[in-house]
Amino acid sequence: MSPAQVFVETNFLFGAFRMPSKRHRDALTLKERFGAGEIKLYVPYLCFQEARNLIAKSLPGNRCSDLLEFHRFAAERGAVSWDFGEVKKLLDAAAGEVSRTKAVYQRELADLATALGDGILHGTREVLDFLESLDLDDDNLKYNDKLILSSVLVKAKELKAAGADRLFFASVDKSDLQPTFHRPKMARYYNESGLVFIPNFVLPAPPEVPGAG
Amino acid sequence: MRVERTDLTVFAKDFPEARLVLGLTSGVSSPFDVDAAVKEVARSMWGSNCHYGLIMTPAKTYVLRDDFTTAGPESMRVTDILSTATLLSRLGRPLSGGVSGRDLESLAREWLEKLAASYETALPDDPEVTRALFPDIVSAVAGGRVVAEVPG
Repeated sequence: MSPAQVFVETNFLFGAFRMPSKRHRDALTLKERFGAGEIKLYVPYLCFQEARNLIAKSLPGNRCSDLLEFHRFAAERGAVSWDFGEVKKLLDAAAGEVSRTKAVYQRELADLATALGDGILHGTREVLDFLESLDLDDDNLKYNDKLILSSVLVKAKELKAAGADRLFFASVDKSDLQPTFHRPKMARYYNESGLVFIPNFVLPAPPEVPGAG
Repeated sequence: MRVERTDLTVFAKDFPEARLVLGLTSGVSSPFDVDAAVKEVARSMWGSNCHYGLIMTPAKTYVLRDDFTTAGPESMRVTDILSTATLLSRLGRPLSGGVSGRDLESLAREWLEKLAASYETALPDDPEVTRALFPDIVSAVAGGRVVAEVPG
């Protein structure tokens, strides 16, 4: 059986490359599976730009100042029952995580882009033509989401025509991209591309092969 | 055993970061079912690095919190059990017996959206509810977006 072909978007990159202590564990697992060659990943190029902006915006500017202020307040009242030296080690380490993330996240994203190779989906003429003709059930999608959806559908259709099965689009907070009973037009696009939407980063188990095992 | 469940997730306003997972289990009828639902929601919380969860049944709502004591879904523990009717009472539509899964989902979504917009309009004046949700869960969902996970 060929490996699953998994399309992901901005929320995957954000979940896998933001500050380490806040990363999405299921996104990390998916990234590890890609690294081990178990799955093939596809990411629209636009998502890298979106993720860079989101990660930069999400880095806390004053991660520990509330707690330091509270410590001083409590100390002034003689109400401190903790070892500030030990507490300070924790707070310094937490602040250090922010600095380290700022220093490396762009390079880490670039490394993934390199590893993806032809898994990066560009806004080709075919994609833009598809976007122009996209006829959805409602018009609530933002332009970037329409472009992401178009990139994914065009590539999935190409893979399906080449004989690929197990095509998934994994996204965690964009239920607008999910085909449902109430979105028959969107569902038809997914069907034509052989694509299955997954509302998280956990892939369904592959179908059992009779006689295997 | 797998309990039939749909999820609602509250995401941070500006980021794809899960702040609270709410599992709806209209079919829960035994402690065994509750345990199964707790395991599923805890796994979902752990996988998405989310620290708060609710399991809502027509009768009771179970509050889950990450206690950060271990590295795994087992650190998500049930800390409070509330009456669902009390929790949703500010919606002004009393829960009748035998509420359907779809109705419960609709009520839960409406309540979560209210809670994210302003806890004062969502939470009943009930000391148990206040103790269970305030301030950490209320803060976690403030300003958030409620997204439904539609079963495939």
